Parts: sequence; structure tokens; C-alpha cells
Amino acid sequence: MIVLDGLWKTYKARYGHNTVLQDINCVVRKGEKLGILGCNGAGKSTLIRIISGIEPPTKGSVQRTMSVSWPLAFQGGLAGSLSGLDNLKFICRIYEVDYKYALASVEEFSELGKYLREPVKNYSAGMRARLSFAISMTVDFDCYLIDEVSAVGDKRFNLKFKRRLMDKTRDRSIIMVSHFYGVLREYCTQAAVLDAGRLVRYAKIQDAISHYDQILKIQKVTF
Amino acid sequence: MATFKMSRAASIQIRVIGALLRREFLALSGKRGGRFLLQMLEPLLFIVALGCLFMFRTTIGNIPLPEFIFSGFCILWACRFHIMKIAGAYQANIPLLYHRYIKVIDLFFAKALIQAFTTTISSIVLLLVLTYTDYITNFYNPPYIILSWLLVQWYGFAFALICGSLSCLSSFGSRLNLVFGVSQVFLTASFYMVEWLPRDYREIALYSPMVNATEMMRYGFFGNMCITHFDIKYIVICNIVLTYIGLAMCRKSMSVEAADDSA
Repeated sequence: MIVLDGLWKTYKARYGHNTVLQDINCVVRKGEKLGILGCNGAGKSTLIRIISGIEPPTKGSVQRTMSVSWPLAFQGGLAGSLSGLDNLKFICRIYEVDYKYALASVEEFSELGKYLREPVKNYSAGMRARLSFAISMTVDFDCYLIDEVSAVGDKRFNLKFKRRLMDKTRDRSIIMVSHFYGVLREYCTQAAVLDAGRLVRYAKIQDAISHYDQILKIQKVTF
Repeated sequence: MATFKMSRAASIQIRVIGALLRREFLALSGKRGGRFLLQMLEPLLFIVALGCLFMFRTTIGNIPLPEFIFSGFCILWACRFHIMKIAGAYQANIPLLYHRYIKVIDLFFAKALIQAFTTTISSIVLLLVLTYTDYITNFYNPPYIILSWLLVQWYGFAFALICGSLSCLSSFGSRLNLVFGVSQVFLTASFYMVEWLPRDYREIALYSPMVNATEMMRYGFFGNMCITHFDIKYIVICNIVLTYIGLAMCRKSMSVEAADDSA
């Protein structure tokens, strides 16, 4: 279970304090799949980072009684100067995963072949995304945090990716951020809208989507 | 926050630092292991150059030259390396902070251990070479040499914690670290012996713990061949204070560590 209790987040900006999240209360139980909708700059990624524990909230607390992944965003978490294999080894050591098992799965899934031995900084964006996703799928978490997964790789990879993610997260929790309704409908069972720093949760995805549509109509994009 | 037991937290930290160390080793040795040799080349060249300079330009009294330069430069080099390397550790490893278990302090610890390892190994090799070729012949009191080296490493690490946290806290801080790195030239007695200074200035010089440590190492080499001034207790106290400040600043910098990553 993940319990967000009265979360606030403010950043210092040139013009003073910028409050991104205001009093967010939310419970995600094991197996629940929650999608979060929000405009650009609404604080979705900030929320994901706080849940994952890489950034402390200004006020309030996050309680985690299940293991939570790092934010899977297809960029972060890889060291550019190391090869793909060394990156994998590093993750395996940190999360106590058996390297041999992980290697087989990464080789099979990422299809990078000999490029796995090249430094990650020389990878193309697509290759990096494939590696990043393949590595993150080798670690078992109870809850996966996913920060905008759409538009990765070509159609074939996208299908493969979808199947793997579905497989892996069948009985796990997901907290996912996306702008695409289709993706949310596909992966999530519940949805929430993040607007003006507040999180409103809906039992039905369709309700969240219509709320979000309303916001988009009323509001010009907020930053 | 998850409720962690102390022992579990410790085991995670040890695991993370272990993984980071292996990673650093990979980066250090490079593809052909040549980088490590390059790291050793720097002090060697410098010592040769300094040796030539001193031989032609000055007389340094009745003490032998190689030991004087070795003690002075290796200490300067160890302190400076600690600071320079840790100053860049945060910027280079921001992507790693994406993993909750990895904290900035782990990055600093791993970097510091690697630096301590490189500088120590290089110094030992250098010392062996110089001893084997009969350039260095005086070993009056080796325990003093070893102890002073340990104190230098401790000082370098504590100072580096401060500099590393500075580089996390602001971008101005990371500029400042250049100054701190270079200022080690003045904070260690690389180019003089305290005894050579006028009496009034000795006290000022001895405020720096590393001047004390340099003198201590020279006592280890020369013994009673020359007069040395140092106070081991003072170095230890300075190190404790610096470590305390460093750890406190690390704690402060934890709260901002991931705030400015854009990935």
C-alpha cells in the first residue's frame, strides 16, 4: 500500500514560492492501477518523483508498505559513460537481482545485440529507451511508477513493450502519468486528475477524462 | 517515509557503495587499464620537474631533496584530488539519483574511497621506485609517515564532503570548489618547511592542519636531521570538526539533491 498523507511541494522561484502540489491525500492499494491526467506543468512528474522517494515533499508524508520502482521514464537512471551491460550489472547489484537471469531477459527484449557493449551515451534515443525499459523490467516491484510511456520505438517494439508491461504488472500496482486517453484506458482501472495542485480521484476512467476535457476547455495551458 | 530498521538501512548503504565502487573502478581502469597509469604519471612528472627546479635554483639546507618533494607534493596532490573529483561527482551522476537507494552521500563515499585508493597506491609505487633507485634513503620513523598519510586522507575526505555538498547546493558552490582545490597549494606546506619561516609566521602556517601533517611526514623521513613543528592532536581535532561540518552539509544537500534534475 502507498499512502500519501497531506503532501505539499513548493519550489523556490525567482518570483517567490511556486506551489506545485497542495494537500494531496491518496491511497494506492496492492493491485490497483491508477492513471493520472494533468496539463503540462500540473506537477504530475513531481508527484511521481515524490512517490518514488527520490525527492522529499515540503510537507506531509509518503508511506510505502510495498516496494516501489524508480520512475520509469525511458531516460533517467542510466549512466552515459558505461556500456549497457555495465549499467545492467549496476542495477542488478543495487536491487539484488540475479545478473544471469537479467542479462538473458535484457538481451531478448532490447534486441540491442553487440550494441550492449557500447557506452550508453552513443545510443540513439530509441535504443536508450529499449535498454532502459528492458532493464527496469528485470527488477520485481509491487508498484511501478510510469512517467509517460507512449511514443516509444516503432510499432513492433511498441507492441512488444505493451505485452511485456501487461505481463509484468498483471497482479501489481501501477501509477501512470499520461496525456493519452487510450493508454490510460488500456492499462489503468482508476484515474485521477491533477489540477491546480490538487488531486481529484475517480472510480471510473471516463469520469476523469471528462473532467480533464473540461479543464482543457476552460483553461489555457498553465505553467 | 518507509520505516527502516537501522541494520537494513546499513545493508542497503553498503550494497549501494559496493556497486558504485565497482562502477568507479570500471570507469577508472577504462578499456585498456591505461587511465590508472595516467593518474600515476601526474605526480611522477611533477616530482621530477620540481626536483630539477629545486636542484638548479635553490639550496634547501642540509636535508635531502627527494623526500622533501615527495612528502610535500604527495600530500598536496592527495588533498587536491579528493576535492576536485568529488566536486564533479554530483553533476556527473544525477541520473543515478533516480534510484531511491542511492543518495548523494553514497556517491561521495564511493568517490572518496576510490581517490584514497588511487593516491595511496600511486604514492606507494612512487616511494618504492624512489627507494629502489636510492633517491630516498631516510626512513627515520615509518609509523609517522603512515599515520600522517592516513590523517591526510581523512582531511581530504572531510574537506571533499564539504565541497561536494556545496556543488549540490548551488552552481556557485561548484565554482567555489575550484578555489578550494587550488587553495590546497597554500594550505599544505608543499614548498617550504615551517622552520624556514620567520618566527611570527610559523604560528599562522601551523593553523592549517595539513601544514602540520606535512611536517609530520617529514619528521617520519628525516627525524632529527632538521627541526619540524607539528601537533597530531590538532590535526585530529581539525579533522573531526571538518567531518562534522561535511556530514551536516551532506544532510542539508540531501533535501535538494533531485530537485534540479530535468530528465
